Amino acid sequence: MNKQIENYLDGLKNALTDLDRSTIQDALADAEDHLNTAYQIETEERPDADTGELLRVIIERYGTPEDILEQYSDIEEITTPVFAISEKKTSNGFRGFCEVVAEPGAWAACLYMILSLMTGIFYFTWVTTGLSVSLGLLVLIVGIPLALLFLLSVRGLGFVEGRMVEALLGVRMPRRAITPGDGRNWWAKFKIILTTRSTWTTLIYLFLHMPLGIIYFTLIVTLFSLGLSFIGAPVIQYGLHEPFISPEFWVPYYAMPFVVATGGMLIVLTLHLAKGIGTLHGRFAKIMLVS
Amino acid sequence: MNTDSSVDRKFSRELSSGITSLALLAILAQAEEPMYGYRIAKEMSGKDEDFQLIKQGALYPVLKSLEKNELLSSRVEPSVSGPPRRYYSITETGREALERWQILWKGTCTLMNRILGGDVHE
Repeated sequence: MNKQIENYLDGLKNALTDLDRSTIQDALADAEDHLNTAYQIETEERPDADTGELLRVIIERYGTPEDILEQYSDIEEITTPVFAISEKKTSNGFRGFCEVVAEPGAWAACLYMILSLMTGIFYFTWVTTGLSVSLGLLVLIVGIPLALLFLLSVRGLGFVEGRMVEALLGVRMPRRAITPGDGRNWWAKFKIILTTRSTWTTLIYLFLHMPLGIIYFTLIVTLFSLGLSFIGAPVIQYGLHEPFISPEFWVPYYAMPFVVATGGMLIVLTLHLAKGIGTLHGRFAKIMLVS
Repeated sequence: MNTDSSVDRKFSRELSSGITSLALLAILAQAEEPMYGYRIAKEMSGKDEDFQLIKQGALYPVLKSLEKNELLSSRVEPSVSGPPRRYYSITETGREALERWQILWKGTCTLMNRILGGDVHE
């Protein structure tokens, strides 16, 4: 890449530091794209023009880092993620605690935890297969393009996972899929991808997603079925005439309301747990998937 | 930075924020084929190279938000040389919005000309 463009992008990155990391990544992707295209087209149209001067005009017309900062922070205010987990509580005490049931974000986090078993298995299979095949073939020449393709697919999966995290966990993630070193030859591209931190952290993230997914799935399914069966205890015992919990144990009728209430509490607690895990996982995903 | 220029900057930013969307829709409605970011940016600056209402870097977030509101659609195509480009085209909803916004714009112009006391310039 041209030195002048690189300097500008560095300056832009510094100016944007206070913004959300995903917004920074999007803004930098837009700028890099624009400046490279502009430079390429202008040099084709005016081959005899002075490169330095040409780039100075292109960059000036694109705007100073401060202009870009203002523009992107304006846009960010109106495009927060849908299920952003709300920090504020509408009422205090026990009632506020139970209001989690009406929070779409908490349910979305549950959905994410259930889905993560399936995505986790897929990522794990993909990563272990891809890694072993491309590493194994690296001694032959076909291994190199295969490894590049594999790493590209890892970045792609990382982007898709990021979109899912934003949709369900409400954490702002990158909205432009970018491939580092676009427009350069294969070797240069390979080198850039190899030296980008997020390539490797994404790889680790995808790898870890299966154990995490198993834990999340088990937790949610166990706690939900336990809670629901407690709530349904009267129906099981008096409707279906089946003993509840163990074959010998019948809940005495006076204890029934407590069993049902415990079930309700269990669901509320599970939703809080899902919300908490969702927040933590969102943070983890942001560290690992965003460069 | 002196106060004058910072006030000017703020005013020009506020002025341009709505106009940008209108101009983008109009340019894409007149275009015969989908256009990528840099070509739209060049159209926006027009013939007069010195006057620039908005910085080109401001276009991209607006393009994204118009697309999100389904007034524009886009697709990525590889280019012969250089990075792949995202081509934008206007949607049917976009054309309808453009018609409504044009009426609003013309009304605003007439009103502003009268307020600024310059009668109506052609």
